[in-house]
Amino acid sequence: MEKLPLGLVLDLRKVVPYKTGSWRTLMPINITHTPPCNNACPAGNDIRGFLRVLAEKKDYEQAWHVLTRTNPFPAVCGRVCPHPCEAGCNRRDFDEPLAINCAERAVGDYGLENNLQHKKLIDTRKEKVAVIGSGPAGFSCAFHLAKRGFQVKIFEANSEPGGMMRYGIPSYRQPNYILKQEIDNILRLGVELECNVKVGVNIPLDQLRSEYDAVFLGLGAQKGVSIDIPGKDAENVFTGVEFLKQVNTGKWVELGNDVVVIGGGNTAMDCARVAKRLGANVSIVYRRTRMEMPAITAEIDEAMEERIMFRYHTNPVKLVLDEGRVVGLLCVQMELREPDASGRARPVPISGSEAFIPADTVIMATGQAVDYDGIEIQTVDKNWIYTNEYLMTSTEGVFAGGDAVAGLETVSLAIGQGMRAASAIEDYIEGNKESELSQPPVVYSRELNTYYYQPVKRYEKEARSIHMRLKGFKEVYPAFDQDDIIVEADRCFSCGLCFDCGNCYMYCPDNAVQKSKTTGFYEFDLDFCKGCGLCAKECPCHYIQMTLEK
Amino acid sequence: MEAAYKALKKGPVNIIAQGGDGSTADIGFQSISGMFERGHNVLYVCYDNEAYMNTGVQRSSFTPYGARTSTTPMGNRTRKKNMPLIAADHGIPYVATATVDDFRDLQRKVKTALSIEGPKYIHILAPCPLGWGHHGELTVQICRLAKDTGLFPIYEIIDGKMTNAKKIPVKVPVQEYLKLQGRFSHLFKKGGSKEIIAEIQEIANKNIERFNL
Repeated sequence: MEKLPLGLVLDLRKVVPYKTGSWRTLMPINITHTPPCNNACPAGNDIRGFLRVLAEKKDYEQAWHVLTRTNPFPAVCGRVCPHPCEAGCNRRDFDEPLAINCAERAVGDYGLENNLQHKKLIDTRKEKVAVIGSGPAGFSCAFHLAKRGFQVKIFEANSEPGGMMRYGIPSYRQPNYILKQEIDNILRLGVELECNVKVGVNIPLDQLRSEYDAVFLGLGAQKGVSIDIPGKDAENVFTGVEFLKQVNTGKWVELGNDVVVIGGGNTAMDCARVAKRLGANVSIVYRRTRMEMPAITAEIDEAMEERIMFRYHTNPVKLVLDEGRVVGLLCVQMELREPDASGRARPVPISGSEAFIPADTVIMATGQAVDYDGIEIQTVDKNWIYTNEYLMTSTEGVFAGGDAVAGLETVSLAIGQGMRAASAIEDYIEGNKESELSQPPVVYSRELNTYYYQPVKRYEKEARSIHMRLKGFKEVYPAFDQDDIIVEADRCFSCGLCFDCGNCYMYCPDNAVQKSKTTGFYEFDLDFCKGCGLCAKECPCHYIQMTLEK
Repeated sequence: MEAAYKALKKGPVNIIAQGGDGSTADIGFQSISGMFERGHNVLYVCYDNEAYMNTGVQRSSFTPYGARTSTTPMGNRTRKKNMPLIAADHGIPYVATATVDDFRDLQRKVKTALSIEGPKYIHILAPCPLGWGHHGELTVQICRLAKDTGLFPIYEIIDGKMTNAKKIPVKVPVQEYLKLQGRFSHLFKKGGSKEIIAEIQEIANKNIERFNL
C-alpha cells in the first residue's frame, strides 16, 4: 500500500490539551503480584521469571541464571520434584497447567551441557559457617552462604556428597552424573567439602560450634524405621533406605525371586521399581488403598505400568522364618474405618483373614527417622529437630533444615529451607533483626482476563517403553526438545506481571498510558487519566489494579 | 473538499471524514449519499454510539429497538437504520463494520480502506458509558457482547461482495448484552416487556442468519 499524507493535519502545538485527570476518583496502579506457581514452590523459585525469559527471549542461559538465584539443583529438581507449582498454575482453570517441571529440567540440563557457572554476589568475608550433611538442604544453605561470601565447610558422613539425592533416589529417576555436576558447580564457589566425617562421632558438635560463627544441621532422615513384628531382624529383611543405599553405591543385592515391599510412600515405590529392575517379581503390601498412599501419583502410576503388584488392605503381622531367613509373610486383611489423626482412613484388621505371602526378600519402607548419633538437640515428637520460625534450633547459632526438621518431605522443600536458613544465618552473624520477606498478594484465575489467551495443548513428556525401562537403570524420561519447551513456556499467562501485550495502551480513551522510555514498562499519565478502569479490566494478567485516590 | 483538492492539483492525498451516528444517519445523510454517488475519493468513518450523546441523549435513527433515550423514555419503538448496507447499495468499493474493542481488526480495515480508490465507509460501534448507562470499564466487554449476541455483525463488503464476516465463537443470548446497560434496564424491571426482549433476540437471530455468523 502506498503511504499518503493526510489532507489536513492540525498543528498539535497550537492545541491546548484539556487535562481530564481532575475527574478521577479511582486511580490505576501497576502491582507486581505473586503468581500461584511461585507461591506454591517449596524452593521459592521464580517460576514465572524463568518461563517468561524462555518465552520472550528464548534465552536458556538467562533462564538458568533466574532459576539458580534460588535453586542450585534445577536439573535434579526438574526430575524428582512432585511439582506443586503445576497444581497451582492458573492455566488449570483455562485448559491444562504448564509443564513447569519439564521446563525446569530442560533449563537445568542446558546449564550443565554449556557449563554455566554461578556468580558470587559478595566476594569474600571472614565469617565461617559449618554445614553438616550434604543433602539438598545442606548444599542449598552452603550455596546461598557462599554466594554471599561466607566461608563454608560441609561435613558429610558418607563417602560421597548428595545425601538422599545420592543414596535415596534411584538413577532411573535421576542419574548420578547430573547430581555430581551440579554439586561440582556449587563447590566451585569456594565451598569446602569433607567426606567420611560424622559429626557427633568423629567431631563433637560443640567443637564446631566454637570454631565456626554458625552451624547448619542438614541431617536428613537417614535411618530406616521398620515395623515391629516378629522376624524383622532376619538377614534378608532390609529397610527401604538401606536397600536403596546399597544399590546406589553399586553393591549387588541378592534378592531372589519374590520381593515384598511394605509401605506406600515414595521410598516404597523406589524400592519396588529398583527390585523389579534387578529382575525380581515385586509386590507392594499396603494397609490402606491407593487413595491414602503418600507417594507421588505419577510414581504410583509408573510403578503400576512396570507390572508391580499392589496388595491393598493388607498388613503383615509376622515374618515367617526358616533357618534364620525369611520365607514369607503372614498378612491380615484390613478394612477402613473413620479417619484417624492424619486424616486418612483408619485400617482395622478383619479377624480370621490371615494369609501367607511367600517372599525371598522383604523390604520395609515404612518410615524414616533422623540419626541423632552423638548430637544432642531439642526435638519435637522425639523425632524431628525443633526450630523457631527462623530455623534456629534450641542451641544458639545452630540452624537446621530439610527432612530432619520438616519430616519426610521433598528435595524442593529442603532446598527452600536451606535458602531460608542461609538468610537467617546471615542475619544472625550480622546481628540484624531477622526479617521475613513479605510477598505481594497472589493472583488467582478469577482475577485474570483470559479472553486474550489461546488454548494450547500442554507439552507431555514421553516415557521410554516399559520393556526398555526394565532392562536397566536408564532414565525413564529421555531429554526434551528445547524448542518444544520454548513453545510450552509461551503458554505461561505471566500472572501478575506485565508481558507487554499493549492492551492498556491501546484501550485507554485518554491516551493516558505511555510506554516509559527508561524502563520499557507502561506508565500512567495521571494528568489525563480519568479513572475509568478500562485498563484494569482488560489487563489479561491482573498487573493493573484500581485503587482509591491518595 | 475532495473536489477542491483535486482542482488544486497538489497530488494524491488521503481524505478522511468523520461523523457521529446522528450526522451520518439523519442530518448529513443526503450529503453522504451524494458523496458516495459522485464517487469522491474519501474515507468516511462513522462513530456509532446509537444516540445524540453530546446534546443530551436524544434518539437518532441509529438508536436500537427498545433503548431508552431522553426523547424515548419508554424505549425506542423503531429499528436501527442499517447504514453499512445502505452505503454498500450505493455501489461503493469498500464498506466495513468494526468495534472499538478489536483494535487490530480496526487498524487493518482503515489501512485496507485507504489503499482503495473511491468512496469508502467504515462503521464503528463506540459505546458511550454515560448515555448507555454502563460503567466505563465495561466498554470493551460490551463491544464483545454486541458482536457475540449477533446484534452488531462484523463484516466487510468489497465491490458489493460480502467477505470476512466474523464468526461468533460462542453465541450469547441478548439478555447478557442488555442487562449491562442502563438504557435497557426498564425491560428487566417489574412490568418490563418480555416481548421486546424477544423481539431484540429476533433481530439478533436474523442477523446471524443473514450474515452467516
